[in-house]
Amino acid sequence: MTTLEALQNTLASIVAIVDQQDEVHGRVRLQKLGYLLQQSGFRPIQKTRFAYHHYGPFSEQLAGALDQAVASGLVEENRRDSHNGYKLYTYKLNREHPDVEYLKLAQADHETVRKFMSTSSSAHWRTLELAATVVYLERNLEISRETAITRALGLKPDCKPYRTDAEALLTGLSLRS
Amino acid sequence: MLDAIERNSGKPIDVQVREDTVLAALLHDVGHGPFSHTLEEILGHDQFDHEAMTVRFLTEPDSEITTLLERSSPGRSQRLAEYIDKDRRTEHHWWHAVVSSQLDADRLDYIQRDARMAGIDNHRPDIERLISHISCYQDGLVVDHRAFDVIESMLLALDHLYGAVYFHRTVRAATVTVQAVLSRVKARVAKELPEGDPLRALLEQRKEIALDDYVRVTDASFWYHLDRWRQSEDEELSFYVKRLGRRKLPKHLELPENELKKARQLENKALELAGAKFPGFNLDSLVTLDTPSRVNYKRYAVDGDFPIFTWERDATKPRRIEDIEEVRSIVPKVARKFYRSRLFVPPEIFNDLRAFAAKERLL
Repeated sequence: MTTLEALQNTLASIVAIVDQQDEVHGRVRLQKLGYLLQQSGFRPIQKTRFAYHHYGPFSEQLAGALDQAVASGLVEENRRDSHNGYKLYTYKLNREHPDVEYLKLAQADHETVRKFMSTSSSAHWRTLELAATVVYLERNLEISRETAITRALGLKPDCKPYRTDAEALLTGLSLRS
Repeated sequence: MLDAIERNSGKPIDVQVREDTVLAALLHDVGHGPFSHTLEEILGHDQFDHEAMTVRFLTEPDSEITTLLERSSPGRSQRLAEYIDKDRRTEHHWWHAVVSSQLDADRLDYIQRDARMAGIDNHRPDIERLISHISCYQDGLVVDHRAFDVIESMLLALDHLYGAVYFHRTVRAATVTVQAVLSRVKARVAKELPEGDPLRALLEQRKEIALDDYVRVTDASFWYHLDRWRQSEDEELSFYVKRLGRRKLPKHLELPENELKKARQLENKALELAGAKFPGFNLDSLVTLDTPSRVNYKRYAVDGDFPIFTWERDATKPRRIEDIEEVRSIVPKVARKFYRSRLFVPPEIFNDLRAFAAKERLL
């Protein structure tokens, strides 16, 4: 059964991601980074459950923990208009919050997330969406990378321009099928 | 819905798509057993999942449903499975959204039905009008802006249902007690259930259970066992079953949202008090954390699902409803409402725990 430890681990993962950047843009981005980080072996997020949703792997737990982090003031949420008329949420770590110290990572975990974010933090959210979906499909349906990419692009035609970037990202993260 | 989509989009719907969609809508929850959301939590979602069971009923060769589907139209079995299981699809189509999306037929139905059955009379969204303004756009559904007020009242109704029914403290307290019963039975399955019993097969074989056995796990047989377990030689099992029967349910404290450290302090104290009061009992079942994300009805979730789109007159493309200004709409507020997690504890330790929280200024 769920205890606070599970929430603590998920929160620590969110903090770890948000901590590596000045600002994280968008909830989809945070979800996909969370999933790719899990698949890269980051310890605290291993038990967070992801299921397949419209934009690929998505975790209710992660979304709930993010709401919790915003409600507690640990993470600041801002909303702004993006260039194409959409509202965009941005997330920033509040370094003054007492939980920042409490959720501090072990050195090894810190190193994992640092490496992970140095490869993936600049990726477009569509690249992350495609990369996360490809990994999800190949690991859950046990299909090859090539088949997974074709399948993912069939489901997400908007991601077609990001194919090369997504493949490079997966290679950079050493995520093999 | 299909008639409205055909009329509003001006695109004729293929007969096969129409039949498939109606069948998928009718069959989409056929994989549910008694308390299956609770079972999913106890057994683990990767070990038992009602949607995966639905797909088995639709596709396995020895399922009667598969035979009937294939007899009516070859390939239908696989086509219907794509409506349920998103990662089986090679393409998303709008007709999938009729069965699985934020505007799917099930949700439009249960919002009305649950509000009525639970006696919540202040909301009766005009779903008929919403449906009459529904259309398709690319691979999703879109609603004409003229029915925007219905979307608002639907989301408000959903939010109120969530607070007043699905996440109601008594509903959740009873649910965590059923979970305590089932996890105790799972730990003692050979002692508590006779060989050949379908519930035993489910607890032991989980998602591998034969469909013939699974269809025999019914509400009636579950309640029968529950009655038997009142007399179980296992003190812990009979304890929870009796509490369920006598409505002596756990009480909750809403967790402080400002600091996780304080929440953990509270949890540790609860575990300590429960351990002293009920020596030998499993602490995981006595003290449980209940978070809104564990409730199996979906509030409006912006990030996980395809958003709801509306189409304004003269616009070149539809807009996501959450992009409509807050001053004009309640949508962003309802969509992003936050509920606090709860810590459920036995009533016996509730007052002590509350006194501790007050003393330590935890709440």
